[in-house]
Amino acid sequence: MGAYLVRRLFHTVLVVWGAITLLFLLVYWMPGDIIEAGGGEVNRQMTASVRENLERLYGLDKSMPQQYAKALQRVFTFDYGVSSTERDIFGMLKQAVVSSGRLSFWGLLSFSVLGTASGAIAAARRNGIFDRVSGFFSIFLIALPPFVMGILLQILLGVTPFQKGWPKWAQFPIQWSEQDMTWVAGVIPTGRTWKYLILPVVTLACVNIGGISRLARATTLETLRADYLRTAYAKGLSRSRVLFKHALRNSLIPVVTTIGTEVPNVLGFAILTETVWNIPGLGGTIRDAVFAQDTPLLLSFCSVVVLVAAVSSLLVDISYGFLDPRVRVYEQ
Amino acid sequence: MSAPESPVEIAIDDQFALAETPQTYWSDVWRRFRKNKLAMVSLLAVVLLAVLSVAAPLVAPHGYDDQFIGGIRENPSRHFLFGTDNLGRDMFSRVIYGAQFSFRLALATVLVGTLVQMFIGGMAGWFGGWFDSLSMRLGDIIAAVPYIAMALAAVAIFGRSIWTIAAVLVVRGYPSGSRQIRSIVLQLRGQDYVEAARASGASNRRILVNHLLPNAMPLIVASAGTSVGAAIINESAYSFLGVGYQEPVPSWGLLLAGSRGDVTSAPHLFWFPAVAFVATITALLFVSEAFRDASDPKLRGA
Repeated sequence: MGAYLVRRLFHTVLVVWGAITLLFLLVYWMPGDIIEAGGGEVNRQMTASVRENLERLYGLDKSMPQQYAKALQRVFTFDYGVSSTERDIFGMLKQAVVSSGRLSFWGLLSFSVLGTASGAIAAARRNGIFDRVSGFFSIFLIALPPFVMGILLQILLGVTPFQKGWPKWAQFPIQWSEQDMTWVAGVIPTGRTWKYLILPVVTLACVNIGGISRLARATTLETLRADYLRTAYAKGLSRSRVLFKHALRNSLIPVVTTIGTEVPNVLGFAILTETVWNIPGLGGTIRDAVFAQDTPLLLSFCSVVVLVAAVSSLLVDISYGFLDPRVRVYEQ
Repeated sequence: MSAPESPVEIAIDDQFALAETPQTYWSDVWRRFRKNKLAMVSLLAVVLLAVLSVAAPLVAPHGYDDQFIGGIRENPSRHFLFGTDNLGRDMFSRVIYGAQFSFRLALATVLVGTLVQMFIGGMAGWFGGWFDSLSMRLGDIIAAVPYIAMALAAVAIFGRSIWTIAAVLVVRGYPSGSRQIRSIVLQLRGQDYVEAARASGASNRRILVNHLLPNAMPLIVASAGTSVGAAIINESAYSFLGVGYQEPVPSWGLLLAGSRGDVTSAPHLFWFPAVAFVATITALLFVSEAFRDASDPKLRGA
């Protein structure tokens, strides 16, 4: 297990470093620079001395290897500096992570739980009506990515109830509103906050639920055929005990793994969800940062996304070793 | 052939029928695929959409960027089947042309992408070693970069053209796609018939092309079908975020992005492209899903 951990950790660092390097190169090769892109026409007419000062501020007067070293140093020491609009990047990052985090947390939680449950039920009642219906929806919902689902919900539950004068409880806001939302312990919505939260979360969850549901169904079916289940039944254990104590735990292992590896995917869909619902999260800032060629801002925000994805896949791989004894045997 | 009158004759008839039409693998696949009604309806829809998108200039009553002054955000009518948008353009024509732009890009992406994935995934799975590690690590790194940053930067560097978007889609698809093909190859590599071929002195190339490829083909075709759907979703997502196609090209993603400002006053700008998009993706996914089931040799004869 020790050697495996070290190798896995090395892989995580490699991926983070590689992604940061790739991003640095992409932005470096983009025509123009942060000064021109940030101020547009005005900045192109600035005097040479002003430009020199700005170049020194952003480190553009240095050679490429020096700029690269500076970028790496900033990312790995969490000392991000200021953006092209001279705002403190660390502060911006904190706000964006909180907004994106709340959305992604609830989205991930709801599609994992609902997807796993529906897949397991479908497998337990194979070829039943629930199996067929959930089988249809697990494919159909893939065709409803956030930029369709989000606007659909906005029209059906936000605009129409308002225009038709439906009762207040049936009307939902069509915009995320940070100042109207209150939280306990960071993620638990209080008061009317859930009304702002629920539709974006549904938007994000729906597109991901199908994959998990189908996987949970397949693994549960496989587990139900296993010899040790027959043994458990033969011992005289009740059906519910066999299903929950013996089958569920084993069929969940691949599901947990997939949920962990889905994190980058969820973050990708979160960018779309954030755009539809005007949520001030990571995605929107990354988009603006590329348009502004704001290397410090872009690298800091992207490094957080990369880091979250890499660490979650690392955690999954490690927990996999604990959950499934066979993995440990092979790795020795 | 006359109608059978006794059970004995039925048996004889069946025997002859079997003898006349030997069941090849692909006819067997088609036989099982046909049984799935949902899949057949979806296949019909996909064929219809493909024809429609190729024949867009003939079907669409107007060009996709023809503007009709005085007909702005009009509701669906006899003149404008799907209404008009905020610049007075015929939505029906735009949705039809949208299919053309989406399909063209998706097909190019999937053709090139599948070849790239087959090559990389196949080599990685078959030879292993440094090529395997290198290509898989590189894939991990590419998959880790937020796609919107990559797409935006690529568009800024190489210019906004269909080729740049296609290239980004191919690069984005390669990590998961080649990993999938690699695992197929790894699985097939251990099979007895591969061992037998090697024992009888077949070269690597011969085993790969004559033995592995035909066995991996159904899986590759099925996943290519899913990939067409995924490519259309991704292209629409890029266009929706402003890094894919650009106005006045009527990509479905752009149409949906454009509808956001008018959800209160002109919801038809959302409904028509949304229905076209959802119907297309659903049909594609159902077809490839049914094909996956029908082509599974383990279910043969079922």
